[in-house]
Amino acid sequence: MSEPNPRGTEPADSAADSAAVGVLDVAASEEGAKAPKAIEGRSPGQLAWMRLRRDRTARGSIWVLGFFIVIAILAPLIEKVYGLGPTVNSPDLLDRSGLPLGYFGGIDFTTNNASNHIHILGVMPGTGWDIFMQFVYGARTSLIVAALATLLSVVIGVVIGIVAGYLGGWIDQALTWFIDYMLAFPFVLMAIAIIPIVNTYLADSSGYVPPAERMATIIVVFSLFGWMSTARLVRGQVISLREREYVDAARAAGAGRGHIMFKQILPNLWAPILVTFSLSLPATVTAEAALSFLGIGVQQPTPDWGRMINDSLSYMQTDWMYLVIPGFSIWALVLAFNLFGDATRDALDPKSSR
Amino acid sequence: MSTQVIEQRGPKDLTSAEPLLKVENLTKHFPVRGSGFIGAKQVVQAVDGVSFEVRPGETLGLVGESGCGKTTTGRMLVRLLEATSGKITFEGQDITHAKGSKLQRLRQDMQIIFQDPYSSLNPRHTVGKIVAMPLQVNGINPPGGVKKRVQELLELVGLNPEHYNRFPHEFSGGQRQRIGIARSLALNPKIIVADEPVSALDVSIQAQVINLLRDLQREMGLAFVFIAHDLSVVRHFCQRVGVMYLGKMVELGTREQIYERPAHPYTKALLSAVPDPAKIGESAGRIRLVGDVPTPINPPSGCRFRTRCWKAQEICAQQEPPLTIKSSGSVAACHFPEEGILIEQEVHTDDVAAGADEH
Ligand SMILES: Nc1ncnc2c1ncn2[C@@H]1O[C@H](COP(=O)(O)OP(=O)(O)OP(=O)(O)O)[C@@H](O)[C@H]1O
Ligand code: SF4
Ligand SMILES: [Mg+2]
Repeated sequence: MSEPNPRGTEPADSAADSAAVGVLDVAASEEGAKAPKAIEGRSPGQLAWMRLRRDRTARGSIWVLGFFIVIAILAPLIEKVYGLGPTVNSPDLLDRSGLPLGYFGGIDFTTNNASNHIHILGVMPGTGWDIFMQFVYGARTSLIVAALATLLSVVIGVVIGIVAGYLGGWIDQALTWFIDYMLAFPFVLMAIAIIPIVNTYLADSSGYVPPAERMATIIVVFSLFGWMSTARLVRGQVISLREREYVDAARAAGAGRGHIMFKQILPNLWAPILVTFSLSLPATVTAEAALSFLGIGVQQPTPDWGRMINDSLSYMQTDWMYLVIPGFSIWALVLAFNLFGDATRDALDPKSSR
Repeated sequence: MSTQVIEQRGPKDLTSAEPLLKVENLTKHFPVRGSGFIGAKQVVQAVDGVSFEVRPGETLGLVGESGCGKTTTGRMLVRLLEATSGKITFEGQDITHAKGSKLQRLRQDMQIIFQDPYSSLNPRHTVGKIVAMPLQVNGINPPGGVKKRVQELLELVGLNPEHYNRFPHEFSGGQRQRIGIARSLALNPKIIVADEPVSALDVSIQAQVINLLRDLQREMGLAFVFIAHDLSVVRHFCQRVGVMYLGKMVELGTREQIYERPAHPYTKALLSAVPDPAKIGESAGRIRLVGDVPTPINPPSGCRFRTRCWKAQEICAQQEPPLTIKSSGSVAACHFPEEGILIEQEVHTDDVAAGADEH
């Protein structure tokens, strides 16, 4: 060893060279032939969207959801075109006991009546308010609360889940304990207890709480008690994703924790995030309606389907259409969300056959 | 032992005394909860006192069966795992426990290529984003812009630079591995740890990727620690080869020493598994290792290979064989090393004879 031989490596080296290069030529042409033509790549998300659009149930539910979303967004425009607000009193449309005149809760497609206006879904007993406009603005209330509360709770859940799952150790233990602690609260009871308390803080001297603040209270309470399942799901996913070699590659390149958690791992969480989103939206629609039904949701004059159902119960015998319309609306919205959610989950899973 | 290793012939600069990377007694023990009712704490001795050096521009192969601690060693080198004990020196600096900005700077000089071309690329990122990531996280804005640099890198590894906007799932395994290689080159590292970079690929693609790595190594003067589970892949790439068994380095020598005059029975057994009939003389016979690798939680006493070694004697169970220079010139840890010329070879028989005579 003390006298190194400079010729030692050379012959074997060049022999190996030529042998390996021979293989290279053949294989290189093979690999070149395999190369796809289009230059622009399709992301996994785009592929999922394509699968979703091919799904008939998904298309149907997209149309229904689109309908609700459009009327919610365009509610003021619809009001202008329709020519009647949701809270215009028309006592002349009611009989002496406060029930709508005419058939099916006062449905009237002609202007040939006391208000000189069409009422395509009839009018509310007691006030004569137009149910169609109540329905339109009710969609707005329902969707705003559901969308914002779900969005907030998903954001909270995702951040807590990623942090717990990626950092691990005592942070994970503390956060997991916190998740369990929060899950132990009976949500509906908490909401019933908390929302009135918050509202008394928000109320001015006359006890009036602005509608926007009432709505914000509901959204915040829903988010604060609704993030835990997302956090759990995300945490589990992150624990498996953090072992992926692309995470190690980022660490080896000197990436910080923030980059790894939110640039490397987060984009791979879109599937579970969409899944929780799609599960949480219909649940929130129902929960919001339930709160209003119980009388602690949004108040008059903000139209709300849940409160309409509560209101309609006293007219069950006499004006059943009043119950059918908000009930059907909630049912259709929740069903559409659920079907869309199912289809989304299928589309996100490339292995599913549908 | 380390001084003796330095004296072995280097690839380019024979007198270069300063190793790029020096590893001394590197050890990694993973604590695991044992089975049983109480679950007493046990340790997996994944890597146990491994020492070697890599000089600038040199390629060192690390070979051994599955579970012998190659990946763990490689990950400790690039500081993805913290060493339990031992010392890693890079360019004369102790980096074993480097932290913060020192570690950040260090990361730019050492990169890793992973085994799995699927899990090593983020499926939600485009190729451009993947290759640009090291630049981005280090806040480097190369002249001409990030995009230009990424396209240069793609071209360098033999990919179409126009595929910048594609996603990993649109590429074959070999192409994906090239993307991983481009990413590892983005920061112009001095050393790359390649952890079985071709074992997941088709045999025909393996040769291409190895050729690519070798070309890059020559053009850019990169040093490599090339991990493989058999000796055939390493043969055409590495100037020196270290053979690992159950967390220990059992033999370390130049390519000729390892392939033509293996001193350790385990090296011989590994070589015999290489399907290369031209290189294995009839007389050498074929050695088939029996049994499984013992568990690294409770490795055999003395020589860890003794449970599978056909030459094992009593002393092998009692005394751990030290790494010493054997007659072939390599360093090996064995009480009864293989002697003389074990494997016939055609080209430079004289050199071998001369080398063997020296000792
Ligand atoms: N995080 C860990 N916790 C516990 N044990 C581990 C851990 N990582 C590795 N090990 C153990 O350490 C030993 C060495 O593992 P390592 O991955 O380094 O082997 P390897 O030589 O790379 O094998 P392969 O050829 O299969 O990749 C194995 O027994 C493995 O089970
Ligand atoms: S020390 Fe003994 S058991 Fe170990 S390899 Fe050598 S001969 Fe075999
Ligand atoms: Mg490995």
